[in-house]
Amino acid sequence: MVVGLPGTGIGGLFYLFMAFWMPFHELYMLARGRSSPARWRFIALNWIIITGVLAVLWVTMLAMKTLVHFTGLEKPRGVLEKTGLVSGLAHDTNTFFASAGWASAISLVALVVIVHALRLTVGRASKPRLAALPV
Amino acid sequence: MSTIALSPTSLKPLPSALKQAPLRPATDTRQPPPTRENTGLTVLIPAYNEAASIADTVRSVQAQSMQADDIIVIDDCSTDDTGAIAQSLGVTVLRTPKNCGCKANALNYGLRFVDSEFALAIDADTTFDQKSFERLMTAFDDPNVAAACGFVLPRNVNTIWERGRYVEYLFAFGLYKPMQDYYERPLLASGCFSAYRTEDLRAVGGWPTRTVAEDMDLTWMMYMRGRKVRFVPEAVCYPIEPHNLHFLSKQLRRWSCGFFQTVKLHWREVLHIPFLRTIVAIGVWDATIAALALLFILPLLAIFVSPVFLLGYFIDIPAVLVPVLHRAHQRGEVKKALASLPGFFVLRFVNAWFVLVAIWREVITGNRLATFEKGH
Repeated sequence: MVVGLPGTGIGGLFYLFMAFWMPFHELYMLARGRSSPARWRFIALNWIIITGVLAVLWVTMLAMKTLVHFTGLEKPRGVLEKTGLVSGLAHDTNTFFASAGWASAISLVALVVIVHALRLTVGRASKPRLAALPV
Repeated sequence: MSTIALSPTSLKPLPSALKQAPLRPATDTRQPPPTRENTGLTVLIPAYNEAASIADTVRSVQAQSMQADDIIVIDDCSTDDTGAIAQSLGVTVLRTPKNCGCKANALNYGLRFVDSEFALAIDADTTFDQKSFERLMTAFDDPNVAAACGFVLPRNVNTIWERGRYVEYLFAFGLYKPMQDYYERPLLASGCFSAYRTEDLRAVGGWPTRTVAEDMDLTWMMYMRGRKVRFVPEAVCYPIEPHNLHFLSKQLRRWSCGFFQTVKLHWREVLHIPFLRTIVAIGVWDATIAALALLFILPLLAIFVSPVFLLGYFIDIPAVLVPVLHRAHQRGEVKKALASLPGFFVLRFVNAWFVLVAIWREVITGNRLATFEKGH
């Protein structure tokens, strides 16, 4: 079972961040005597993967910018032509990519803050929920 | 279907549980305990009309490097030869008195007959690498581990839907799940291949029947009890995935609705489980916002503002491609993964649609999905 849409939205950004955070978490585990060479190898592998992700992401953005430039797609068109912020975003691919990145990052931070605020304000359920076995 | 809540201890100790269990029908072929080395493992295989696949599954289990003490096929009143085929292969066959209506109920029926330390639940259409069980069970070296699950890959990768699922699994089980395991919170122990400490399983009342995502519900309950769940990527299983849109729709409807049912049921408790609360919140956010963006916002922006916004559909290709190719390279399947990539992007649209339908049903209208339909 896979939940939601893997690879889309802020999930990808979150897992990138968590991969970067691993060495720091592992230092904490080391201090508690729960680290191991295998865990460090796992962290190194994930760092290589996310470095690869970021590198290919950069190349993809360059390719898209080139594509947009040569096809003339950067010119706004349609009924909202020349109006508003959205049209401006489409006009400038740098702004477009930067806006997409910032929107994801801000959403992720806001979501994490909301979750922690709820954790502090919402109590646990009064008793554990057990499953029901069939007769 | 009538159900009653049993206290966790009502199923223990085992001898009394067996006395309470319904009489086994005539097809019950349960044998005396094996004389060979006791591995403490019972395999449970719920099956309903699985005549086409049950033999492969049983043979794959019998060929494991780690032999189970008992292999129990729970024939949920199949109308085909599922029970007879399983019986001919020399495993225990239990036939439920009436159709249980869902996998969880069938598994709970089988759980009454488990007298080993561990119970391994697998789907009746799933096969395994020869050492999958042995590798999976290493997770239980830690006494705090209550459940462990393995890496899932489609057995057949032919149609566009199977190809999409193949890439989806390489990505999710190759990047997300190991990361979740590193932070000690796999989102769920997949229902098609997960092992449990029987004691923990009974303590939570068996497999939950109140949602259509019994695996996720059960996993979160383990966390609520302070127990650990592990993901073992070296333990690989191969279920048959939906090969056409008809069966895929059934599966996605159940998965999407099951996710929201489980979130609605447990959100208060989940808020107090580190890391899990964040990945669940992100799952809900992406299921909602990303699905809306994919199906509606991007096309509207492309039509009314600029086609540049269509780039939004491809901007995350690298984020998907790198981990997918890494896993595919390990398996010597790079060409297969590259050829399957278009299927992933097609499948994403279908996923997005069913996620939004699930939000409408489960969250907005409250018309919850109660029918368990397997997706193949």
